[in-house]
Amino acid sequence: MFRPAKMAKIDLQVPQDYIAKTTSIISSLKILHLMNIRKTRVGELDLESEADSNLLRKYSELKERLEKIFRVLDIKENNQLSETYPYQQDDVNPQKDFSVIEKTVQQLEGEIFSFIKAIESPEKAKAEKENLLRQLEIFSQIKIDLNLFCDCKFLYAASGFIPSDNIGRLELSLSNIYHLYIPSTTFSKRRLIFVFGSRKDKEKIEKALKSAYFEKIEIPHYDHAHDINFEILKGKIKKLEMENRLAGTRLEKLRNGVEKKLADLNRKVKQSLTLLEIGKSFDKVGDTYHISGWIPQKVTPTLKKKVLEVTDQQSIVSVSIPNGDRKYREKFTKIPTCFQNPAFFRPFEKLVSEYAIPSYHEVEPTVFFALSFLLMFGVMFGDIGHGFILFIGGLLTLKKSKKENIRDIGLIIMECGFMSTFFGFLYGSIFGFEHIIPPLWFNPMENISYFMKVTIVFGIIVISIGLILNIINSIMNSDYKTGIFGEFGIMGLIFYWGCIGLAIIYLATGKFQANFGYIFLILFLPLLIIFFKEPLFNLYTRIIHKRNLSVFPENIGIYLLESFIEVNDIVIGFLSNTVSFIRISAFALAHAGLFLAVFALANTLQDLKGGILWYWIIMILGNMGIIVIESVIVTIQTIRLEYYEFFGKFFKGGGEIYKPVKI
Amino acid sequence: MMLKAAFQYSYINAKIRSLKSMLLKRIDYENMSRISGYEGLVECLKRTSFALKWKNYQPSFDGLIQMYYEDLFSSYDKVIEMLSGNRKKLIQHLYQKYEMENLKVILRIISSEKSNKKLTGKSRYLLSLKKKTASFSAKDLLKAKNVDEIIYLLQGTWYGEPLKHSLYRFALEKETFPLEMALDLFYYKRLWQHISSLSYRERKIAQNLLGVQYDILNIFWIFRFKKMFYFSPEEILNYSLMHGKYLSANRRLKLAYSVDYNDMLNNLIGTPYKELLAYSDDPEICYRKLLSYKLSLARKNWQGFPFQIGTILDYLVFKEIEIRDLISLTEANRLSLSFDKVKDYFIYNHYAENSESTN
Repeated sequence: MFRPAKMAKIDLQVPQDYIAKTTSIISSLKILHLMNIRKTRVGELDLESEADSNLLRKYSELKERLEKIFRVLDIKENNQLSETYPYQQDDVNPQKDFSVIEKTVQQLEGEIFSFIKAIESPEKAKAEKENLLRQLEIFSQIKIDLNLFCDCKFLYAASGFIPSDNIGRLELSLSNIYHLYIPSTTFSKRRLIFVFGSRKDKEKIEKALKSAYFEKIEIPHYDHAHDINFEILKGKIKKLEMENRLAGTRLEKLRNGVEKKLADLNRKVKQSLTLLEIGKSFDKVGDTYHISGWIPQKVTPTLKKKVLEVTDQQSIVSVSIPNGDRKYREKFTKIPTCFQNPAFFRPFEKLVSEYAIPSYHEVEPTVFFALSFLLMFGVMFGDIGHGFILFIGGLLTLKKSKKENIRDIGLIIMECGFMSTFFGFLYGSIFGFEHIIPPLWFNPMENISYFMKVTIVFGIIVISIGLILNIINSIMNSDYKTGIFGEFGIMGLIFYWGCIGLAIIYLATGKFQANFGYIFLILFLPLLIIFFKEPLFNLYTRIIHKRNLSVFPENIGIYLLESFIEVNDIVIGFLSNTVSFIRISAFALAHAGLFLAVFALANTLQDLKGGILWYWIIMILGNMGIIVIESVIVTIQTIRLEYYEFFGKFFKGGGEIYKPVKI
Repeated sequence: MMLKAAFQYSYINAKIRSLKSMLLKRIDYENMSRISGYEGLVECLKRTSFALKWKNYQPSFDGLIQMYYEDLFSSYDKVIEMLSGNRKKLIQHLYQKYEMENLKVILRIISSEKSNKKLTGKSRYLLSLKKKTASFSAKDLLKAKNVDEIIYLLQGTWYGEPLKHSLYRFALEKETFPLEMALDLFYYKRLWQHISSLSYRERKIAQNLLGVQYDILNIFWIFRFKKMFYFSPEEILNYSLMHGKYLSANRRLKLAYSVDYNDMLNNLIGTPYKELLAYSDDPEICYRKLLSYKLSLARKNWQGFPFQIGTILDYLVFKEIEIRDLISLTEANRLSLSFDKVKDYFIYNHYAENSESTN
């Protein structure tokens, strides 16, 4: 819980014939964190990576072709995959399957695309007829005898639509040509126009019209009144509509016929692609593949057994535990960090990772983070009613959402709600009413000074835990310089606790009753050691490790100046970090303060007509506002305290998250 | 009035000036023009403000160009963040020019799609704009079956209208030129509308600088349409922008009907462009000359009253030309061309002189 899961490095040597099955089993077990082979000792030998890039490209093309078919047939590919065809782990072999898959896709394409082409032509014809009908309807509105217009023998005449924006340009372009231009009505940002000119200028006018995005209307020559022709056109459109409907039914039939086949093909293509992608991390010597990765120690036997099973005991599986030669191994690769926290702390792993990924060799701080986060949230937002609402909101989010991230947020809200309710009982506060339930501990507004002292004590505990964790981390990493002489090491802790001791004596007696010996040993000496940590550590290395090091750094002046600033910073830092925790009580008081404002407004409106109604409207809206605003503010402040005052003391991070390979 | 402007622009002006101080200096360009090879170029860049961008960049020439654009877009983002109201809308629209360029690439890909392989290859020409400011998802548009579907997906954005109006021509001609031209014309129409929505004083300042941009495009387009596409004067006039600083409708008409290059120059008498274009009739060289004029104009404006929109527009001109020059330098380096052979392609000489005296 306080450390990442213990990891083991696993090296597999698999004969070529078994590589597809091995890759498949690795992907389905979802426990192996693959190492980039270039970062291993084998990689240092500069052996060629075994990614079949040609096959990978061919499969990518197949995937795109299948996507196109899905699109044309309007089938949602993902749903079909997950629900109808669950993953079968050992039936995929990218090299062997390719020609069969490719042939099937080609057949399907032929069948589907020729059908689509056939049904597109009546659809297109219908669209054309509908367009013509629309245009004729417009002409009928402006009462023009179209036959007269079409009968112009000595004049060039054109009618059609032009985007209204282009009219100015068209007029300019025709200004050097004899013409007559008649603008008419506007329909959806396009103007109906009639243009007449000399037949000898026909080419020029047509070029001008075309470049002005003029959409010419070809008017059919009618011998009868408009309405009769409209009827004929409408009849034709109806007939084409029937044809389209029939085609739609046939398309549905085709879709149902190929859906299963397509989904199966798609699954195989996607799995092959994943396997080939995974193959990029493998290496090959002769006919043997080399696979390296990290897995949690406790599941090592499972992987070993399965791999040997699928390879008919023909592969070699070697497992090594990183311990004594840790630094040597880390020259090549990082050991991934696998969190192992109880379910109710797991969502906090993401908040910790936002700061940094814990490295394999340091204390995993999620539990400390989660506990202090919840505690601080509860203290700042203590209210039975609000806590209960948050709890229910979180619970609903957790139950209703299918997305893991949202569910995690739901769980955090639920836990925060629980702590809020708990502190609500301690404060005796329910929806801001503080005199309905007697407080089990104290009322914040009536004990402000006491509350501040409590939060400072809480801050001292959090900072002290941070310092202790830093000492543990330093010792675990053999970094004695930081662990003993560092500002957050043993010397820092002695100084910090020394100051606290002095403050306690002062608060208890009202006087500084420390003697010189105490002040020298507890305050001055630790600072002096931190001031001279570099020379002291060099001296230690010279004596213990017999190395020929100069005790003082080269530029002693700059060193002394830097150390002076650092020591000053430590003194100010510890003070400000501790005082910073007063914000916990300040925000708890702000919670009560906001209620004062809501109550004041509600009481004022109570005197108006329908006052009771107004009173409760304000109370409900006020409570909703407070829940939303305060939840956000309190969360931000809590995270701030965690990241800066707590993590800043010990958490270095720089790890790599454990990501097992999976399809 | 001045006090109000000083109040409105005090923060913006300070930030813009600090952004400008991060632009490349003359010495940076000189260093980069002397070196050859990719490694050398990277070393030079690491000694400039680009050193800060090095985290996520892919080590290749394409990666470098991508990084330049990301830097430009991040400059736009920073500027936009500071603004509000009509000024913000104007700069956002200027930024959308790059989104429009992406849309043009997508239209070319979709309309010419012969195989999926080709599609994947061409999509690398897309600029990586930030998703949060994007009007559309390039990924979704690339999945479209045809241009009609793209237009459908662009409903609700300003791109939909010009494309819808030009779809008729695309169906007939099977070329993306009408679509792209319609986008350009509509984009600049909207840009002018944004400029017009500014207060009187700021409108004049913006029209002064951006009007030159309209003139440059009109001259460049007329020149290219005549020399390379052999368009008729009527067509040229329909493919020209309606606004500008010096090029009135009458002057555009004369330019479109010019019989040769000298005639064109005569029709530019009374504008600053005549002198600039007198040396060469190569459209590319002319375009660079015109850009250098725009740069010098921005430089002149920069020295004036600082609390106005011109400061922002000038900075964006400086930044865009910096990126343009950097791309030219990188491409020259990629092709192992000596600096002497390609020096005419850079505008930085003009720029560097300006920046050193103003920083």
